[in-house]
Amino acid sequence: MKIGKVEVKPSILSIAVFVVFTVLLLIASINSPEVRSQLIWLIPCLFMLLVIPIALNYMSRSQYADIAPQYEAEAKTVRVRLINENMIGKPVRIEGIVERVHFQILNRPQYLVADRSGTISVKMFTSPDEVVKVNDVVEVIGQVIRRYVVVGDPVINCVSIRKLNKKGSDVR
Amino acid sequence: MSMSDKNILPHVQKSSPWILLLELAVPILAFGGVLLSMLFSGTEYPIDIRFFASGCVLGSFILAFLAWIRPRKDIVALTTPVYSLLFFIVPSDFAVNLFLELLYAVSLTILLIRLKFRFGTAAESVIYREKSLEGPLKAYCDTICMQVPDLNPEVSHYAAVVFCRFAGGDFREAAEAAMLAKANLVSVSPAQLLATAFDIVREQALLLEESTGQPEQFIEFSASDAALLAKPLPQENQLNERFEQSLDNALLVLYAVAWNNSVPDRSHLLGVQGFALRLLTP
Repeated sequence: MKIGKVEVKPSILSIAVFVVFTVLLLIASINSPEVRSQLIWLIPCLFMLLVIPIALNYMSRSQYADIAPQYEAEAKTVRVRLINENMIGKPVRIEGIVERVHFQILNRPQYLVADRSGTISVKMFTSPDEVVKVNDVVEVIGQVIRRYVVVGDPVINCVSIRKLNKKGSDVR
Repeated sequence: MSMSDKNILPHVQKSSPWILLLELAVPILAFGGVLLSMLFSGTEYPIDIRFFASGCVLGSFILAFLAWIRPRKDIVALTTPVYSLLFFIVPSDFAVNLFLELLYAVSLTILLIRLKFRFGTAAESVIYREKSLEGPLKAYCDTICMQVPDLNPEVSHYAAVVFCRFAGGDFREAAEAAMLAKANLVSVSPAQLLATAFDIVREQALLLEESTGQPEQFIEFSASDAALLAKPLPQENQLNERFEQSLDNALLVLYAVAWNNSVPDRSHLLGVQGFALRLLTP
């Protein structure tokens, strides 16, 4: 779904929640006249379950789209091994192969990206522009942050991740 | 630890007595509060049990601190102060009684035992680790110390600046400091090793600053320098490895030289030793 220039991708989980509550409401309204009398506000509430995640996704994706050019201009291309806790807050660009993908269905994907020099976690707090799978060669642009905000090892807060037309052997 | 290290660095024992004291304080405060509550509950002038429950609250904060200083964080122990405040301080519908206080004291003790057995000892904490160099890095610094003794402090300071700037991702500043350092290298022995190290870092820092890829020709250490390098020189045909290992070796040479000869910079060098250790791993 596209709103303006931003492609909105609600998570599977939000859609599943909406579907479950729709079914529950349907069953309840068939069985109970009391529920039927409340449908005037129950149906808008039900749609809010879908509208709110879509609105949040739109806001985060449009914000990411705004800051991506700035990061692209400022980020330095580094090898994974060079990323360390003293670089917290610095914009970086890495190229590597995706070894693991987590939480894609929550729209909060986490990737483990490896290059010849090492591996690093890449966290994204919105849905990516394109679906990234294991063994894809990608370019990641983002900021070095700590895994748990103030503690933990350095990870990349991903602003943009895109697939490259390269073979895994080119980056490993 | 060398003699010079002993004079400069605070000596931290592996099992710090104050940590043991804090660990003991958790059950003592929690169960002490329970005991006092029991003693005063039977008296003619009973005191509000919340007053004695402050032992549990204090114990929770100490437990959270003990969890915080460990390398692996226990989120359960870290959040105990929040629960203690909710149970004993914040006014709520449920009554604070002796049973709740006793259950809380038992829970705190179980969490403390869990913390000790599952999340390492506090002696391995960040605080401890930052007081001295870790094994392999210390061994390499000692090797360099024997081979490159009594270096010009100014050059050593520049080595520290270059390393710290590079670790922080300030590549242009690192390249500039490396250039300045070379100007002071005239009368240093072995000048060639250090000059090459500064040259490698300067070249690669500029490449990183410009986000330029690996060039076909780049500065490398010669075979005669191999004995002083932390990592062995790769084969001639391993171009990528040669390029990357040159930088690792150059940075580690600068770190070791700075550590051994620029004592005022050691606190900064300890702050970036995690990066140095990362470079040292194969």
